[in-house]
Amino acid sequence: MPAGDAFSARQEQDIAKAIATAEQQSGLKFSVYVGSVEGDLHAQAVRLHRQLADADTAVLVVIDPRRNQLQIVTGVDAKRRVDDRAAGLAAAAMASTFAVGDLAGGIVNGLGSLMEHAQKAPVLHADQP
Amino acid sequence: MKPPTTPEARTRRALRAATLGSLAAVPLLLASPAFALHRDAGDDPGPGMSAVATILVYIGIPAAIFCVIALLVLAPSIARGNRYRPHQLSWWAAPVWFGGPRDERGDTAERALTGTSLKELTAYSEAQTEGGASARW
Repeated sequence: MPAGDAFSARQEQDIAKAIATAEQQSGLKFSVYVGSVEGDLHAQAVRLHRQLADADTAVLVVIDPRRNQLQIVTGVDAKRRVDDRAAGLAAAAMASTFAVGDLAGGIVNGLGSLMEHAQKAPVLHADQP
Repeated sequence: MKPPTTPEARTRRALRAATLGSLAAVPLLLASPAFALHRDAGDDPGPGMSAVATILVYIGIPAAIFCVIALLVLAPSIARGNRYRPHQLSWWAAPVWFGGPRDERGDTAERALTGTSLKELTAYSEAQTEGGASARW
């Protein structure tokens, strides 16, 4: 039974800002789902991911606070920028922050970690033969 | 002990007794109220407290102070409302989807999990698969 909001207005702002920054820095699309998920978390996360508008370039983080589980799904193109190892690191970073009771902080940290791995490598000498 | 014989010795003895006697009498004289020959202001204990008044003063007032302090301590968290605690194995809030489809929170998230569009999604090409990672805490 839903009662109350998961995040305060300030926390929602922080998360929205982290998403905007990550999208701006990496060119990928980031999305965060927080809520109870019934059934297999991976399957449900993939299903949610496919509903996104640009699923191929999207990175979805599904967090189930009830089961203490999270799942990161990277799209086909996003996977080249955020490989499974980088996603694993971000997932571990988030989980360790969630474990001390800080949902919003963990999401912001995790998005930062994903963003760092997804950042385009600077192209040096692009204008030289 | 023999009584003094000479007059000088008798005088000395009398003086010594008078000094000792007066020294011992000073505290007794200072403590004149202890003799209670007359009532002093403040020595009347009054009619005494009833049981109700005793309970009110010695239990009611401390309990009231306790409650006020407890309220002051708890007020900020009550005002903030529910918060997430790990390992409580319950989740009270409605789903939130940041950056979801059409990016409208709440009803979009509800629709996502009720699965209205599940059928059209199963046709998605399975050749290219998503990557990702999971974690638990």
